[in-house]
Amino acid sequence: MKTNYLPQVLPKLSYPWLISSATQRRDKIQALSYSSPEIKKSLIVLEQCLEALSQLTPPPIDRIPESLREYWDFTVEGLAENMPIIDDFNLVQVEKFLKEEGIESHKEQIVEDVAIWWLWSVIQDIVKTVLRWLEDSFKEAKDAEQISRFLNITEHYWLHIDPRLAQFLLSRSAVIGWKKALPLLESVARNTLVSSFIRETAQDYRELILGTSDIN
Amino acid sequence: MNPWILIAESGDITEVTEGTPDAIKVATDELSALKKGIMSDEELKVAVSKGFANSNHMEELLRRTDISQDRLLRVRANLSSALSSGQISSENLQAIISKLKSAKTVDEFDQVLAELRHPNRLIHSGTVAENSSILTSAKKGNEYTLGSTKVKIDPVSEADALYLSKDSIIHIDEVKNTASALRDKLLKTPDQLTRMKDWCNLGSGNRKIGIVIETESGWTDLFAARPGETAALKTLIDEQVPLTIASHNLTVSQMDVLWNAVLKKSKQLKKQGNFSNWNDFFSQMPTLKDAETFLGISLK
Repeated sequence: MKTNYLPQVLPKLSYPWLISSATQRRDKIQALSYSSPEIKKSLIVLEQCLEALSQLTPPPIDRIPESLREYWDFTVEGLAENMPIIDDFNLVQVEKFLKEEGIESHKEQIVEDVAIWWLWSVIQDIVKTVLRWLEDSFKEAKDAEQISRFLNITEHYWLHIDPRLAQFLLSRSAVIGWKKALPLLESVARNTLVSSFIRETAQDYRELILGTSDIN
Repeated sequence: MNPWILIAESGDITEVTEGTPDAIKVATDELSALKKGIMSDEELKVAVSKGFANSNHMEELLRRTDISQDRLLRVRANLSSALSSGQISSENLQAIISKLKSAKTVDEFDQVLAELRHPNRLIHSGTVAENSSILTSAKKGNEYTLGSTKVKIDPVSEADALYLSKDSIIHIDEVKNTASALRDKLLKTPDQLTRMKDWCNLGSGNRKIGIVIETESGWTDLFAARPGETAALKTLIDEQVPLTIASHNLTVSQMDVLWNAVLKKSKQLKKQGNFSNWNDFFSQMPTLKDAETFLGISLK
């Protein structure tokens, strides 16, 4: 199988970020305190996940069986039952799930395609969850050093991930970093090599910051 | 008497079901407002002859033969209502009339009509502050005056409804005719809800946002998402944006209950060997009321 590289890209995440189920992870995260140690941990989680995403290339979606494809969030949750934490990820569990769903995976390729999309979807969701949590936590604990570290992570990865996630990462950087995010937003807005909607996000939030009185 | 039918006879349809709190009042109020104010075609044309950039668009709209008569009746009723309320600007109404005139498909037509019906309903129900207008196509960068309050919608690019309510709250609503249209919107502009939430957070507790879906028909499209996409309902929960579908107002907690119930019920049916496919599963709940029964939850 070509997925030999998958174990290498698997992030080693701390609890509760490593929970595969989006709903269960969200419930557990509500119990985290907005403290500097938790912020430090979550920034490590963010960096590891972005690194993993920068190495994952999901296959075309038409290679996913239709019965799994159209309500994909529930497929992701179903697979999460077989692999409750990211560390449990393995192709045998994916194949077992496909059999449970009545899909006889005669081709190894189907197992691999579903596996890559599952991993990609779970890690994407973890990134979005971390970003929302960081936004809330930085409101409570304004740690300039950690905010700078967060902006550095964004600067390093925004160009190497899914463009929609990049938009979210950049807008969260704007909201969290506010004026400190201006150099980053300016450089993205000026980058003519990236899609226009990413540049628009950077430009719109840049204008928002410049046009609004300081909130940070 | 079924209030849903009552409204349908007026030429307008609101899915106010029996059992909804004050359903009959909402339905009869709207019917009364619509009946009282329906203008003749001549009156409609006269009403837009002054202050409207393209007054001929009204005539072209009313003459459309590719749109069913019941839809055109709804348009007449809603335009009459909007024109007589005076709370929607000529500029905004002109844009709606032009879009209705040019809509290439019935879906597109219904979407524009939804963007007119929503502000009308807010005005009829007395939600909008009396000294405030309601903007149906607000754009980023512009400063708007609502009553005595000035507001921009940045970082939101466009807002389907921007208004000041009687309790001095400034609202932005995203209006879609169907759940499928909301899904399309989120595919094209995935950061729309994030931007709305950011706009809301920039206020000093005096801003609210919401998604409004006019019809309950096809509502389970809220769960649909292909790989690389996130289901609209999950996005609403994640971004903490409340949802109105027809006459149902769902809080984020209620949407969470709904999402988890679908997850639980589908797992249960799979374990029992009674799950054939998702389309069959969702066909068990054509309405939210059916969903409550099928999933064993209460959304009240």
